[in-house]
Amino acid sequence: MNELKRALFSVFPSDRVSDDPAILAGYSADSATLPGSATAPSYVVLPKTTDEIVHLVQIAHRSRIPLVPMSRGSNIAGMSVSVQGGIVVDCRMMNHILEINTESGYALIEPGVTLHQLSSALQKKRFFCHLPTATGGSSALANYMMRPSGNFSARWDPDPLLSLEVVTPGQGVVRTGSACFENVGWRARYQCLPDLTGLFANSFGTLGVVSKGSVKIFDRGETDKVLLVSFDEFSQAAEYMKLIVRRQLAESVTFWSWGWNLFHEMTLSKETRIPEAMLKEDQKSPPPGVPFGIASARLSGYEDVVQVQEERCIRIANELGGEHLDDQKAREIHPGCYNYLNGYFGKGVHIKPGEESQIRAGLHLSGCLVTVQPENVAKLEAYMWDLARREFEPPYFFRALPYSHAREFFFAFVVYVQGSLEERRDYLTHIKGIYHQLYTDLRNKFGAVMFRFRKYPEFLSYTGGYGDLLKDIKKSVDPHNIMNPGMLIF
Amino acid sequence: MSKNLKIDEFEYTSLFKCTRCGQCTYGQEEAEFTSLCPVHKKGNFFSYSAGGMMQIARNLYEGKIDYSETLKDIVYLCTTCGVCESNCGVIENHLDIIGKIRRELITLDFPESKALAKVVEGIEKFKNPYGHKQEDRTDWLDGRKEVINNSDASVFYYTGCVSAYDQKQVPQALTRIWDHLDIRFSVCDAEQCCGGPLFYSGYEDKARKLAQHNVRMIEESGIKTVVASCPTCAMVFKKYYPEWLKRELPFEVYHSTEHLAGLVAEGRLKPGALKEKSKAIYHDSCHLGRGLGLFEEPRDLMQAIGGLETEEFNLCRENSQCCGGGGMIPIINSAFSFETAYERLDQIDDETVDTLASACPNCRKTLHLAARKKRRKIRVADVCELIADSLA
Ligand SMILES: Cc1cc2nc3c(=O)[nH]c(=O)nc-3n(C[C@H](O)[C@H](O)[C@H](O)COP(=O)(O)OP(=O)(O)OC[C@H]3O[C@@H](n4cnc5c(N)ncnc54)[C@H](O)[C@@H]3O)c2cc1C
Ligand code: SF4
Ligand code: SF4
Repeated sequence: MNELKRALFSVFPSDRVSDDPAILAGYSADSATLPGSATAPSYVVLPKTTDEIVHLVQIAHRSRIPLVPMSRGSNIAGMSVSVQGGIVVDCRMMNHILEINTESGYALIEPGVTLHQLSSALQKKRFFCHLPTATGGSSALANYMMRPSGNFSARWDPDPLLSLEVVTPGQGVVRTGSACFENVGWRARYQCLPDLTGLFANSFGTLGVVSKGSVKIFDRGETDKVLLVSFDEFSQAAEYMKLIVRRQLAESVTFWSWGWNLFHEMTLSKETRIPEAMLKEDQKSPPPGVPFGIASARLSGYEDVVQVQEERCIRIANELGGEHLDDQKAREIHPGCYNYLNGYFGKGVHIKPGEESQIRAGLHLSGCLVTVQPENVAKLEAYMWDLARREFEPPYFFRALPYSHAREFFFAFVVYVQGSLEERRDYLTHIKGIYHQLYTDLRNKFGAVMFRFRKYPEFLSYTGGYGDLLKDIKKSVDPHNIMNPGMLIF
Repeated sequence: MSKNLKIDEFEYTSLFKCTRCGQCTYGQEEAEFTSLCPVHKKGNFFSYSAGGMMQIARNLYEGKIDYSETLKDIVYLCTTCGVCESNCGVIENHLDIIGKIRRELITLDFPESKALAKVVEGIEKFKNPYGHKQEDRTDWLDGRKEVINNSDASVFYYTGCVSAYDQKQVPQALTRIWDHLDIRFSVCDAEQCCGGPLFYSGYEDKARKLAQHNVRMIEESGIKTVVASCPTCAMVFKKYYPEWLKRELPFEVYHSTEHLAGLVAEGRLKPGALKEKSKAIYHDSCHLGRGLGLFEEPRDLMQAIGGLETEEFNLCRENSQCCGGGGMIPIINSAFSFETAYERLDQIDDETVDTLASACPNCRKTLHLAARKKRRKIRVADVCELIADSLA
């Protein structure tokens, strides 16, 4: 037995550490891993406590072996798959909701707590949390650490994270936010010192292992309402979303182009084949009877206030050329979509999203995800359609939502990849090449910045002093670069 | 890729779909954070789950890992309880893939593999998993020759191997009910195993042969109503036969509880009262409940019995916990089967209930054996036995 193995097995019982190939196989791929490319780690460890993580990090630091944090492993982008051997730290057994503090509006959770688990617990107290359209089995904390795209992020401030506890190789256990002070608790993002929670957000496990954290929770108010409006043009929809958020009318709103809405239909029917209509050449124009896209807004608060909000939203929609879909109409044209949007936006608990249908249909997803300022979002959309016509095969779609009081928009353009293994591999490689150049173009042309890190080693070099400072910080918290090096950030 | 696992490209592609969300191990609604997958109960790692086995399959196909003791341990824990298939949002053929891994494992030198190989051989040779003689298949009838290949029957009774050779009380109770109602039924002495155990071992080709035989046999009888006591048989007939044979079945298949509940609704069957008052707890069989969606029928039947009070498990209906009797586990890993059954029994308070009812001969057998081994006083009975008792 080598020294590393001896050390790991002395800290963890054999049912929580393994180097057995059959066990490691479970950690070798996610749904983004290309055919033939599964890569297993050398060990997997299941910690239960912060102390155990501390021991683990010390061992890895000493041995200079990569450490890949994973909460539930559902990021569908290969971010918690170890590409250089090493140890996967699977946090699924740290799955306790440690505190729900409705008074101060936060929940203190461990990384293994799922979105479904948290949203269900909060629903009982008439509270809700940020919800992405990710699978309910995703970790809430891991998702929030990646800046979630989804529900409840527009009127409220968009970042759900407050304080974190992080175990780092260089600095040991670090508590951020209000939790850095003994006896102050977990209620705040930062107090009288610089914000270090933000340092660990979007770090994708490259700076340390997060062992617990507090996240924002919100009162659901007296009533909830989902308002659906269809638009024929993206520019109208974008203006609508900006206005209803800025004018405090909606808590959140998302626009889905027609293809996504057809995927929502598949969720209802458990259909596994892609609808014919999605394969048509002209992806810009929907099939007859299907609107180009639907903006779904969540309204909540006092009953009479929600009524006024609804009237105002409809008026703005009409002025911009949108059409309000009342319940009956929405049910008629898009029953699955209606069900999904009402469940997801209305109930504040996680339900199965359309993306699961896409994956069920056996499609590889390849997304170009960016954030962009409101005045450029419609131009960006036009540019992407143009590019798509030249470079991509159908189906491809997008969705967009305003973040942070509509200061910026999240814009996702997604290509679906099907066909034989060979075709998939080739097409995915082709797409990756296009995206690589595209991120540079989009930044220069539209001020659009890549959302979620997509493994571009030179990325930090575009950021000037920011990158240099980050590298210095990295040296301090992870001197041997053992933390998730496969992410290629540092 | 060495294609260490014999799956086609389409099946390989289906493995990519796993998002590793882990929902295949849990129950739904109030049990959404209760681990139900028997495999997952034995290991904390993701690999001990249907999703984990999808990744294992992927690695086998890519030639990245080999069959091993641990891999065998994981795969031979699957009881085919179907929690994964009913919870997973993206994959629908977990059991198919798991069966195909088993098919490769069967040729290797593991005790479980040998036991499973014996079952497969037995079914091929004797057309039942126990290796019993074909002519003994109708022994449970106690000499009632007139119902064998009865051309004057309105119901074809597909007895199933467990009922025919082992849990004879179940078919005997059902036929007592039919006799009481003057329903004419036919049992065929040429009946063969439904093929479920072969399918779950990865031998769809061999299972298809049995399907062809059974369908031809029933077709030749001309009877349009088929009743099965075993939920696995009923599920295999309803769900897989049309797929394997690529045609609709020329008859309707009902599980016994579905059929009897229909008779109650028509007013033909009126369960009576038990001689002695009883309190029963109902165990949803995996294949009857999650597999066929038959949750209400057995409950309705029990409700209709006089003098019978009923109680529910906390883990019931979609969230029912496997008894440990599926997937040939009692034969290939009997200790684990008992362990799983004990866990289910531990959810019952013998002081408050006297009967554990199920509507599956396989659950009945597994739970009965476990109860006896633990010296539990509870009676384990099929719903049909309770109805037959009420008519006596
Ligand atoms: C069907 C589907 C749809 C999706 N749609 C959306 C969507 O609409 N919006 C959205 O925002 N996301 C979406 N996602 C992505 C996914 O939900 C998130 O990435 C996920 O929430 C991350 O949680 P996880 O537990 O699975 O993280 P993991 O996959 O375990 O990890 C993600 C990253 O965080 C790091 N990490 C994980 N745990 C720790 C820890 N304890 N300490 C330090 N670093 C850690 C990992 O190293 C990795 O880099 C979707 C996913 C699926 C499967
Ligand atoms: S098999 Fe399905 S439910 Fe299980 S982890 Fe994979 S995607 Fe999730
Ligand atoms: S069928 Fe049951 S035992 Fe087998 S993997 Fe699925 S949930 Fe687990």
